[in-house]
Amino acid sequence: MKFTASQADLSYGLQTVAKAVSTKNTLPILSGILIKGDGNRLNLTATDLEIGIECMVSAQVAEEGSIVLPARYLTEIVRKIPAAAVEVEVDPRNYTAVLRWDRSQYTIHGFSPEQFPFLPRATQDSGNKLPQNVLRNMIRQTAFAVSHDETRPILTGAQMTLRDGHCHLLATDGVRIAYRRTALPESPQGEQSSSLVLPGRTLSELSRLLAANDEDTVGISVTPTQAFFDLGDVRLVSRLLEGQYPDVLRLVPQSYSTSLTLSAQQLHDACERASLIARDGSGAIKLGIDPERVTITSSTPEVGQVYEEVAASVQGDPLEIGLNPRFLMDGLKALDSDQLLFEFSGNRTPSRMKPQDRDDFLYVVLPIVVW
Amino acid sequence: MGRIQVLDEQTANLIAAGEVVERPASVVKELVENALDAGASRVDIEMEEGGLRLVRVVDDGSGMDRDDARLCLERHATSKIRRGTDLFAIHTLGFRGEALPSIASVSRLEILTRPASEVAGTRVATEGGRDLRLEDAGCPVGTRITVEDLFFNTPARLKYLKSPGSETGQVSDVFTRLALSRPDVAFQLMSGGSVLSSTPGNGSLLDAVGSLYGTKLARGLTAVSWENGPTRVTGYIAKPEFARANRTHQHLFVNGRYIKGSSLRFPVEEAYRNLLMTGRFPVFFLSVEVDPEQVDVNVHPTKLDVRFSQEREVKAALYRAVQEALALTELVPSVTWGEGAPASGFAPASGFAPATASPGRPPDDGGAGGAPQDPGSPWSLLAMGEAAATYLTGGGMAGLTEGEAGVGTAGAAGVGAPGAAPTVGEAVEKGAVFAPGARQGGATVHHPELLALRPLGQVLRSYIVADGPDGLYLIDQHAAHERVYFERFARERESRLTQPLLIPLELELAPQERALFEASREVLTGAGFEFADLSGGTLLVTGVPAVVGESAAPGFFRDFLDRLAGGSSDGHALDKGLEVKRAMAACKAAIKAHDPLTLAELQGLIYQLACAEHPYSCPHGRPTMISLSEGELERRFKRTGA
Repeated sequence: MKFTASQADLSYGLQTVAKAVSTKNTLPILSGILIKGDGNRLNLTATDLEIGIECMVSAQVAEEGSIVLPARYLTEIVRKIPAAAVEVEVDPRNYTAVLRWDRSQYTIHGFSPEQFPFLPRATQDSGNKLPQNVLRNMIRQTAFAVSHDETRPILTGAQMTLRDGHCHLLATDGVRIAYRRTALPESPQGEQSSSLVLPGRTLSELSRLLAANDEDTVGISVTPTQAFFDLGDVRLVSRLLEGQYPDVLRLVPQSYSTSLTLSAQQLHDACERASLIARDGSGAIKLGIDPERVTITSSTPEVGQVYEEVAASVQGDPLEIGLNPRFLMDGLKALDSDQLLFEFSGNRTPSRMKPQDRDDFLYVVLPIVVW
Repeated sequence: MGRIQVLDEQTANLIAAGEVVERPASVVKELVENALDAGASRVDIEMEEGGLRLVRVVDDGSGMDRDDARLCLERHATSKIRRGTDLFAIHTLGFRGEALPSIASVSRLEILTRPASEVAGTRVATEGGRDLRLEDAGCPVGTRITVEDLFFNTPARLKYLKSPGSETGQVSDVFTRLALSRPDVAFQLMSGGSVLSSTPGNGSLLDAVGSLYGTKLARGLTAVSWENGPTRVTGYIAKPEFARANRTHQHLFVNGRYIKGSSLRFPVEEAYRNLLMTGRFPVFFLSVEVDPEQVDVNVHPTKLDVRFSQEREVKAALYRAVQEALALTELVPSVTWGEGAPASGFAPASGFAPATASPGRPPDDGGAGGAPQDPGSPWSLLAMGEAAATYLTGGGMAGLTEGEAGVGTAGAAGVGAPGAAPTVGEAVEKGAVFAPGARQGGATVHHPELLALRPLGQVLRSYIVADGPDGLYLIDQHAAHERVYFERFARERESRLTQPLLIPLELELAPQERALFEASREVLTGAGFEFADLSGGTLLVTGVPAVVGESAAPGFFRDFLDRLAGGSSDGHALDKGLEVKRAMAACKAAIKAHDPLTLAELQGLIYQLACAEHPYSCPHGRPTMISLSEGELERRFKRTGA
């Protein structure tokens, strides 16, 4: 194989796929990036068998062929090449690649491309498409709530459900739930609902690849064991987490005896200030709700006390409830709306927050019981 | 027909001998116990070739008359109990009436005895329990029993004995236990004509320990004296620095009887937790006295295990007794400590050479950790006593302010107007450095003797060097700060918070674990756990204490139940689980080795340490400080004749 590519394109492609390179070093071939030259483009692939990323970059391919080169060296070298273009020539007999620019020549030893695992492809295009920034926001609004506790592996992922022309994304760590829903603009005919659990890492890699605009779209296809995200030049395939994701929304109360309407920003800032004092103690704050006022209090014996009043309109019964300010802030940041509806059904049951004017986002958090 | 026969007595004795007389050490034990039961005030033990050739026990006890001397060799002939009910209130060490006939059946035995009331003594001799010969003999008051050629007629047993050297070791062990059980009796152990060890028999356990283990350990002991109703715990516990890698130096006596069963050791070890590293075991000499009717010693022929009808109470008593003694340890001036320099003969090169003392060793395993274990080391775990107290009362706060100018300012400012001294900065803010009462809810000084330390600077940016009443002190800054945080977290996070769980944790418990769990359910609920029962042995945890956290909860439960199964009481098992979390948090929060600190910060850290309840070890049990005494310094510089 022999090709010439622009340094910028090649470097972009390599760095895009490098995130999927295995760091475990159990299979040496997985520490490499598969490069396939074909027509006027290069196809770069990396995988650690959990996720795989594929990226297409343009290049002048003089001789078609393929090779696997170690990601660590290749990515770093290409990134630092001072020239505008780089020529790569591969010796297929001993799997070495020679990189040439100006008067420099680097030789890198690689692996046989036949050893590289075959990256599965979507068997058929499901036709589910979302603007890239929408999916990106959905991930930002939910992925923070995935569990990092390996004892319950299923919770280390987020549940994505494609149903009724909507895409639902939900994450929980057993103490809070973040849920976001959005309509699929291009819902295919005769669709069937599917539900899958995406590993937390897939979400963060995917979010990194997604553009922040709504012109580019991402196509989502699913098989029983994999999910495919087609971003155009870049494709990501992820293994799914196996197991039954708990139906946590069923555990959320349907009726609420106390509700607050207030500014999310103000509540967030108050929580942030209070946690400065609370974090060295129990870490909890107390929200006092009565028709007159809403207060935030906290006390840490050797540090001091917190008292804040927050402007809010209160409906329903007075209530005192213990909350973890960190969990509150996470939800408030994900809310994407300043007017917040915060509802409670007692100080031992989950409380729910959502934007006052929308139903597409929901954050449920369990209280801390003070006794 | 006729296949079942009653065994003749000789055979019965041989069988009993198999249980009671395992090796020379058991002969020594049985004979000495008899001597003690006979009211001896002096017991001499002599052996040859590890006791295989000869064991001789001489006492000055009551002795026996002719009839008793003959009877004592018959099985179940004993002077110690008369009827079955006596078994439940045993005051003597022996009682089964098995020992002497058993020993006699496997050796050449000679008894020479005379009670004070008779002019002539009696000599009884047998060979393998046969051919009993009785005759008059002249001898002092008391009894002398000589056992020769043990197991001469049971070659199989003889074959399985170890070398004379190792049998000697076993005899020494037994001797140590017996001698410790009766400090009022003078013991002497001789082997091959030379004295191996002896105790003065003056009634002082401390002197007995000193003569058996050396004065260094004896000086490091703390007295335990605790009483609650009929239960009394007395004796000595060694400071954590004397901890060993195994339990062989734990001596526990119940009503004067040495107990080997380990379940009573747990409460003692639990009292030491956080003061010892894992894998190190405290050294102690404790005696528990309970109502004899509460103890069943007739569990095992060699009586190494006992049963209590009130086991939990006895364990709780031990725990509290030791805990209270430990809490007082560093506060109580240990008078003997200051007397003279440690009696060690170290060449100057091997000891306090700056290149070998601490540098280069990671603070978390070598350095400070290694030194106190070395029995002869001049570096001793800090035990500041009287000297510190006088220094403090004499110098008082002046002692603090005469330090660096900055420190002096801090002292004055702190007392006068806390927070109003911009030059002091951080140190004052951190802990109201010199004004204990200046803040509401502020810490109280638990260890005022530590305030006498004047920091001079840092070594390797890891150890604080301080001038103190007794010489030079080195403080491991990380370990010290860890201790400070650990106690602070313990205070702050006792707050009662429960985190309910959206998705309950399922715990599947085996029936045995289930029973343990049910017994401790209240303690767990009291700590903030919430449970719901499902049928079929499954237990749902619906809420966990906020300190434990959800993800750590399943592991927490396993460990908790394991500790319960291991004999811990539920309260201790729970505390231990919580403390692991705290110790970890403290380790993360604390300043690390190689963090540079200003003089004011050093002073602040020492102050915080003085406010800690257990300032002398970090939560993992490593020492926070070591000292080099004035005497030691003088010896190193050859200012005094060593």
